[in-house]
Amino acid sequence: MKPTNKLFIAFKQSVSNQHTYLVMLGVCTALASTSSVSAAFTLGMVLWVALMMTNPLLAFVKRWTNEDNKLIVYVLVIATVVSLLAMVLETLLPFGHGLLGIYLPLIAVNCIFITRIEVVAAQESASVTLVDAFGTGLSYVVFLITLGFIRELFGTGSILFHDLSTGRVLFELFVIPDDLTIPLLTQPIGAFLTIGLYLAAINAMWKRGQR
Amino acid sequence: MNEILTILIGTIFVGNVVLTQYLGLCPFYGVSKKWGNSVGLAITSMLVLFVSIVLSYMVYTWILIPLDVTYLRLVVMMLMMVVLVHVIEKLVKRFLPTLSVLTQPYFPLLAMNSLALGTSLVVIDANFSMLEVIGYALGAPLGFALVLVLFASMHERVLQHNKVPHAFKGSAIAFIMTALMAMAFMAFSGIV
Repeated sequence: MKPTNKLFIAFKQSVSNQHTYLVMLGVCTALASTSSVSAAFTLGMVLWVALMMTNPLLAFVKRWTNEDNKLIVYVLVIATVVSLLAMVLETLLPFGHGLLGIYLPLIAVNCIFITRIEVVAAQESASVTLVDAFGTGLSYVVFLITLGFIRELFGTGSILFHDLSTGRVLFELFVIPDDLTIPLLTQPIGAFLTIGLYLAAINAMWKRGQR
Repeated sequence: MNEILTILIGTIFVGNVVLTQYLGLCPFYGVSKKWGNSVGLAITSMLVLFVSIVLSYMVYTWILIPLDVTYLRLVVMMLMMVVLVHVIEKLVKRFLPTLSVLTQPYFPLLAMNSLALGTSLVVIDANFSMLEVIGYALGAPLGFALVLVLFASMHERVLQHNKVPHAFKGSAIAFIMTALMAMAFMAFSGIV
């Protein structure tokens, strides 16, 4: 098999491979960050970059790890990368950093990392792992932004696009009258409800596609 | 005493770790399909969380702040969790062998998990006093255990006796059930 072909297959698998499964893995992050599109976008981007940094790195260092020390190596690499990204975000985009709170360091314990490392990085080469991390991250960011869009639009009535460094509102989209909004959607209850309906919709579409 | 009671009620019912802060959802959905398993995880989380919350508060205030290395907190916390869970697992196996049978499978779940790390970060960020930390460290695992056991009994019943629409099978119905449960717990808001 040609190397480019292999990379393409890895990308295709990582994007299409069991979207609902991916949603379940990153559920803590997903629920916490999707009350607005800005927060969902910021968190999704940090997670995407962190995934693309850690997984190839771990695929590269796996020749020096064994069964006993591998968990410590994973923890060290993931925690270092996430701390680094949190510091960069705090300096460059303070408003985006403020939106996320404790859920930014909690990216480090997102189950997506450990699963992708165990499934892909432990077996494949660094380049395949990088492509897989890119695809997985893309799929996840799309999911986060969709969820954030639904919750912010129906919860507050409009989508606010913030300048992530200063917090100034750049422009507003889709204004729904105040008495037609569902404020519950921006609360934790709305998060659980939206993600449940989202998964049901995906399942229904998947079933229709199979027929 | 009054303060601790307020924090206990606040963390168990009003600001529940699962229903309002989304911590620990991975094991929450993974283990709640059978009621018996959920009791095991509930006991394990109570064993681990109290120690991990108090210990991480101590490490942060007494070691990381005086040395001015607070930017290392994530690395230190995560390494500490992995080691701590392992140590508690060994201690339980040595001194409480009957309990160990019940809790054995769930220790690895808590090692790299948003429940253990998240509650520690909440305590650090909130500038609690030692008394409040102890109240939180008692309340958070109790709240998690309560919601987990209640949810598991509901989940098992729905999976066994009810005909779930095809699209909602699997995790979708679990999320809807959690939403309803969060709505019920919302009735507690305002009592503290």
